[in-house]
Amino acid sequence: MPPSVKHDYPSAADETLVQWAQTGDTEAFEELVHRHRDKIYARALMMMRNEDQALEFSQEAWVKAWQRLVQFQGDSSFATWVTRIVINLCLDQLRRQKRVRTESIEAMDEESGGVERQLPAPEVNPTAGLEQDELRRRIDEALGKLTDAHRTVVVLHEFEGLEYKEIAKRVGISIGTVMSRLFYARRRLAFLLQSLKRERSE
Amino acid sequence: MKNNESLLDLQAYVDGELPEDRRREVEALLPADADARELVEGLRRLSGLLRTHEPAAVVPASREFYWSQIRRRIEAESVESPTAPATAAALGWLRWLIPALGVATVVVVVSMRSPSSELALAGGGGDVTLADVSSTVFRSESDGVTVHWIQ
Amino acid sequence: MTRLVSLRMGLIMIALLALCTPAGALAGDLKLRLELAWGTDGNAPEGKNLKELDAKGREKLRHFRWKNYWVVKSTPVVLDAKAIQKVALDRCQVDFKTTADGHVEVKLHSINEAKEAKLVKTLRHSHEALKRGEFLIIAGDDKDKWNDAWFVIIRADP
Repeated sequence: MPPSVKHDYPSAADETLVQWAQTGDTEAFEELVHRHRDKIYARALMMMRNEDQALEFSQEAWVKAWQRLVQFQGDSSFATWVTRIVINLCLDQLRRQKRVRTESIEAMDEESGGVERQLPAPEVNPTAGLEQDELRRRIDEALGKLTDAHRTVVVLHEFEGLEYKEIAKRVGISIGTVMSRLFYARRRLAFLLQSLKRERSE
Repeated sequence: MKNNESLLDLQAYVDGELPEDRRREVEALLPADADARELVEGLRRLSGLLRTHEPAAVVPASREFYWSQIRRRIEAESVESPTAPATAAALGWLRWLIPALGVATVVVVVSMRSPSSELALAGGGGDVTLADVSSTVFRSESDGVTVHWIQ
Repeated sequence: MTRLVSLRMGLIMIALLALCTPAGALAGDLKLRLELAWGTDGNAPEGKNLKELDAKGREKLRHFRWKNYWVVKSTPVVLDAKAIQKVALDRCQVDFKTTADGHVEVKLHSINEAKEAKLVKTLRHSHEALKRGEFLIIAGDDKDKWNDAWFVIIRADP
């Protein structure tokens, strides 16, 4: 259904664009895609660590967002809503992909309580003196070294702000497992960030 | 505090996930436990670091190309746009509404513009929805099916 | 002669009555099948041995977008005119009551972990329509799984 009035899409707020898009205005939806595409792609990339998959799932998320647009009630921001869609797509894929070997080893570490023995406490300020972009890059590198299972809980907790209970539900694990994975992942990230800092300064 | 459970409690304390009574217990113990304090501080710093330095990424495609891929998939997967169901001859449009049935206006559009649509709001078939949570009712006479979708 | 005719008329009437009201099926009795089905694009969860919804059920649900419909529980229900039938499914309960005006009143309750029932939906459907083979479905989004839905399917059981 073409809009009868030409709208000023770039200047419109997300809420307005959503309303227009809900009436079938694809130009309004395209503006929303343009505004938030990097964020959605970034989230998919963080979870999948694969550019092709991130591209695929981010586009799929937008398609689903269009299909479900009438469901969007404004309980969260539009970007958050689409982010949740892409996260679920990634979670489904990660469940399908089985990277057993790496995960088993880390799972054993987690379960045997080896966390404390093997990893130092996070340094109070492990990244002092680093530029912002460099810091982001190192965090990204460190996230890439986590297993899918550990990275997933970090993404959902630290970047999506979900509570343990919500993470447990989405991932299909117990709250106890969320807690132990998160703890292990945090300790490992701290260790990796310290290691990366030492490498760079050598 | 050295055992695993204690460590996870400290983490939960940092994350605001401890029940109130346990939170008070942990708070009371912290002044006397330097290791625990160090861990709490370290976890807080790390969380702060992650949240303020979220890795960014840029879609490796032009705006036009990226959108064209999305649009092509939308068109391939639908007969009609999801918010213009009234012109659909077939009932395939329903795929895009359900479970999007929280929007009463869409349903009203259906009933107003497609009075002859087979699957429409339940009317005089004697089907009545009483009380309780809100729902939307769809009915197809020819299919012999009535659906009450709970919101 | 009159007595014989009377007796024959009596016998004929009894026979006719028997035809109209078969044994065990008083007016208002209705045999139904109650099913709880899960709509998903995924496969059935491992270890749970869920069967796919039959072809007729899938036909009725063809307007919905899920690829698969797995039956979590299926149970026969015989309604009679007198009592309320309460039927337990997975984490929910459906109550059936035949009303005097030719309807079936259906109440869907959710059951929490403490086994407490909470009324979710009350509705009425034509007794005759159900008997004719119409499907009555109560459905909703699965709150735990983003993309899935649940369906409570009520239909005549042949």
